[in-house]
Amino acid sequence: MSHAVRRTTFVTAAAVAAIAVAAGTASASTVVTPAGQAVTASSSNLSIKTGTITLTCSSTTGSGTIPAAPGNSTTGTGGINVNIGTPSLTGCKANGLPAVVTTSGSWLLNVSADTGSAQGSLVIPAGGAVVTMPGSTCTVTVGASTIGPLPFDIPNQRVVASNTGTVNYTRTGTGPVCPAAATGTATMSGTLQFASATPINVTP
Amino acid sequence: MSMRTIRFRAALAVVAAAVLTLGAVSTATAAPLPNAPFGGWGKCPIANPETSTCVDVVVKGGEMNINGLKVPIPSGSLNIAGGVAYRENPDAEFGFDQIFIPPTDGTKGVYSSPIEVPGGIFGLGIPFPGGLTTIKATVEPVALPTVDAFQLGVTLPARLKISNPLLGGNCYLGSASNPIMFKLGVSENGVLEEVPGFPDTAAVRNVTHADQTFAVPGASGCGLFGALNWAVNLRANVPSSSGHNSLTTTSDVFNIGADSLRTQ
Repeated sequence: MSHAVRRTTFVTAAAVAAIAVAAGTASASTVVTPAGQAVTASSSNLSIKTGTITLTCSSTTGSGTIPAAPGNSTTGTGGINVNIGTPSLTGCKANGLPAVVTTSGSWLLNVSADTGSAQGSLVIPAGGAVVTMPGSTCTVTVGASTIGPLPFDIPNQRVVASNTGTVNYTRTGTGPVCPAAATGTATMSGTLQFASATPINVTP
Repeated sequence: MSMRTIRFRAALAVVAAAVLTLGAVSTATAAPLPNAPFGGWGKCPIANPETSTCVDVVVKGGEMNINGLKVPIPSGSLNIAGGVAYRENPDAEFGFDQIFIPPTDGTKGVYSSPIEVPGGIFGLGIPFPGGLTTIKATVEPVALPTVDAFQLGVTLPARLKISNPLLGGNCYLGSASNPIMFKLGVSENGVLEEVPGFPDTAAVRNVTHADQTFAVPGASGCGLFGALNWAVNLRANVPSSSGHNSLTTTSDVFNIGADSLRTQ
């Protein structure tokens, strides 16, 4: 083989490799381990800011299970959903006043390595949370929302949100401490801490 | 000039020498919180674990009308501050009672300063050396107020201290046993605002409160042995039954979750 041919082959191979790397980024895979393990997600400082109403909850807890193999991995984008059920939000206040949060549906934690590093998103189903202030008619209903993706801090097993959105909401009711009815988007803040028998790992 | 007015002025002249200086109700002070947009919340009894919400109502203006006697309420003359606890009560409308917890400064959480009654003693606004013709009224709570932190309502059992050198230091409209019951409900919503740096808050600006239900008892303790009660009754048009009086105020109301202050 001539030098010219070998050089051409090398250049072609390099180009193919480069394309493969690029393609690899586009079709990233995700593996969440350990498969089939129970996991609890909790927060002591979750807050949702909907315009001039800020909801804060001192305790948020949801539990689920990492999908069993092979459901714990994907060769495409989009990551893996961990169903954390219907979380419990207690110790809640809205603008300093006691508030009750009624949750429903399946909340999901989506984890992925689409970008090459671990990320997490909280996915709230439509109507997944209804916030009421018992002493007023004010109600805030959270619509289908995705908060993230945010970096999944694997060593500390947590995801930290800071005014992250988008949380879709519809607000109704009247009263001195209730702003005008509106539909809008809110942001979420807080640290979602994960606990499991074996630390969760998210890899490409 | 009516005979009634002549008698009134004559009575005042008789006791003019018995000048008693009345002390104004002092306003309790507390260290203001850093970055707070007003002076409040520092009075909130956050050391009491039952305190859930800190409330501060700052009256910015208004008018009291006692059977035709109109008294403008200047800004800063009344402030209600303290904590609110929520105690379970299955029989209550929303399953709990709201309990006002006063500050730890020995007050009932009501801070008022004397309000000048227009026209003074004679209703003519004629100044007289030494303030002899000036009348001031001060709202004094006779029991703890009740506060609805959700509807921003305030019920305040109070008496009005009437101050004038001629009337002595114990001249009141209303008493602990027969108070004026101010039941201030919101007649016009204010504007809900955020308080920068304090996310767990509801700052409601320019809330209008009103009450037209309170009655005002006759005077007591005015002058020596109450000798001038009749004169005060005459000037204030009291006793005045419910429906003849009104109180309208404009206030800024500041609520905050007590935990937010505990972590400051």
